[in-house]
Amino acid sequence: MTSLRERFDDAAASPAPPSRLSAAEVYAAAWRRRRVRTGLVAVAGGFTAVVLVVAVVVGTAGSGRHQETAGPRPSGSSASPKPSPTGPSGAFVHDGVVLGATATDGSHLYAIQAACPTDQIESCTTDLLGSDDAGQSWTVRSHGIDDLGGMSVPAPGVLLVGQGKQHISTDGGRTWTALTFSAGARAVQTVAADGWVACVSAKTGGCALYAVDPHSGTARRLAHQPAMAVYSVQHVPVGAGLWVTGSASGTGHAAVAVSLDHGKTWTTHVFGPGEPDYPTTVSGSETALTASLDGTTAYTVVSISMIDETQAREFVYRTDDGGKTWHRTDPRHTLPWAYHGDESYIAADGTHVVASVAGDPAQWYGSRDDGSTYQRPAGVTGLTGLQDMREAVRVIAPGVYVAYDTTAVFRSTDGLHWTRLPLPTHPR
Amino acid sequence: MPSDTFESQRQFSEYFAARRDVLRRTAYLLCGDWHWADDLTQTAFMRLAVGWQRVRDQGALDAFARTCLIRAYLSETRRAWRRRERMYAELPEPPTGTDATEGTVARVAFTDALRQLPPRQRAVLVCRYYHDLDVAATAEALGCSQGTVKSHAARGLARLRILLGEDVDQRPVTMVEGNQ
Repeated sequence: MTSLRERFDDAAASPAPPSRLSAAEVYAAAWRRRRVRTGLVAVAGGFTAVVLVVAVVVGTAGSGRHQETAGPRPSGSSASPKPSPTGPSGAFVHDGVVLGATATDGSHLYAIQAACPTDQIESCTTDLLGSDDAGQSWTVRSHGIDDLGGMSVPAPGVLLVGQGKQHISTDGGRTWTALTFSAGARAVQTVAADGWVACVSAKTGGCALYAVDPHSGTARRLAHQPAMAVYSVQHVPVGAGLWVTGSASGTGHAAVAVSLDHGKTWTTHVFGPGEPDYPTTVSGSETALTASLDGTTAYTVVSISMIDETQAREFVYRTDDGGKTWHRTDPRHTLPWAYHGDESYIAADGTHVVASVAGDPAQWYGSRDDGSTYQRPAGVTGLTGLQDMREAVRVIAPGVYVAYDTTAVFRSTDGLHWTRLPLPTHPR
Repeated sequence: MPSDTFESQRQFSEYFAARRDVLRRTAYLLCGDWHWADDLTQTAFMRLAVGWQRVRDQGALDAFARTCLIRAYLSETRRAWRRRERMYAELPEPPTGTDATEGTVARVAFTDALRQLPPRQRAVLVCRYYHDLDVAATAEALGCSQGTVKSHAARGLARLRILLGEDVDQRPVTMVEGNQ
């Protein structure tokens, strides 16, 4: 009689097809999902040794879709995404899948869509679609957009794509300019009023913050860095200040830093100290993400995962003074822990809406009492049943909320009532 | 703990290279489909990647990855829209020709029998008899009580015996809390 262990070993040794998984793609896809706002940017080529960017073939889709402008390739010496045999990043990519979406205002929406002439992922490329009428109609603006870093609007009217090598567009995605990061240049004191801050991988841990000047297409190191290891620049509406999260040196506890003066000074807060129920030992990971509408009131959700998930914790903190002081909300722990459950946004009426991505299709918890209690359903309509959300809800500006899943783009003017906007079917 | 992003990516890549096939084969035992196994493996590694820089206990990586994998599997089986498992009305045709050995037929029969077990029973058996986890570790991986593990193991083994038409020798298994 064959032992059960031998039977399992034998079954596990079944002839297997080659795996499509690679460390670089999985790592990149994971981080894109974590919505690192500007990605980990290469400086002086040092990052290129690590194959993080899975760019896609430029202009090979042969799209037959109605096209306002022939998809221009990014301009500039380093602006052309490199071909890759792997196609768009991430799993479950097939023709028509939405890989990214954002908006520059209530009328102008953008989406990155996979275009796969065959069933093989290797054949896939990407199209950037744009809409000037709030998603009623779409036109192809560009081909071959690097979808890994997601797509964001770091400044009014500016589209930013790419992870590793980044490109910006100020004409609705028709032409693109590569950003140049200068590690050796003299540090700048502040971020320009119409610029933004980028997170550049640092050898000292986390990332260093760079100030991006959209006019020159260059980025230089900020002279004043937060006193913590920064892992992520937070998505907040333009004008709400600069918000970053990461971990404290030494303890490794989640931390947040805020600058309301364009990066000249930073206020840092470490979560955990003085909180008796905050775990001192973390067997999994400890992350924090922040949501704010106005730069004054903000929520940070700290997610602490453990090997034993019964020990995992989710803590919510709120500030009403621009990050100077924080207090724990949800004293009765009505918000359960969930993988990627630290992603949240604030609706126009002040409701704090938190994603529970572990419950795919996406589910939402909401608090209408300043974070005291969370309930599900969250009172959000039109945003249920989303499948495989890759990024959290984005609040581009007050009144401009955008989300997407693999099937469509979703927009809202208040974060509570959502409209699903399907993209045109890709004709072959 | 990795000291910087480059280092953590390098370490993640090394860990990925060393453990990908182990996780993938575990995923295959769970779901019975190599494509789904790839998806589950990717999900597990993505969760690991996101927290890599802040993983405090490097020695617990295998357990963490395994837990992520099993939770991903159990989570997906709860979602009808995600369910990709192919249901067979009857056993698949065994391979023919030179591959049609007795061993191959037995393997197909075993994997098909596994496939007919409910997901939690299957996950328990994989933890207990493939990964040699004790009851407590299995309960931790599944996020359930030890009593539930024992119950699932007993029922799963009983069902396997019926499906295979023979007794199954449970040796060798790490005996911490006693075999079922």
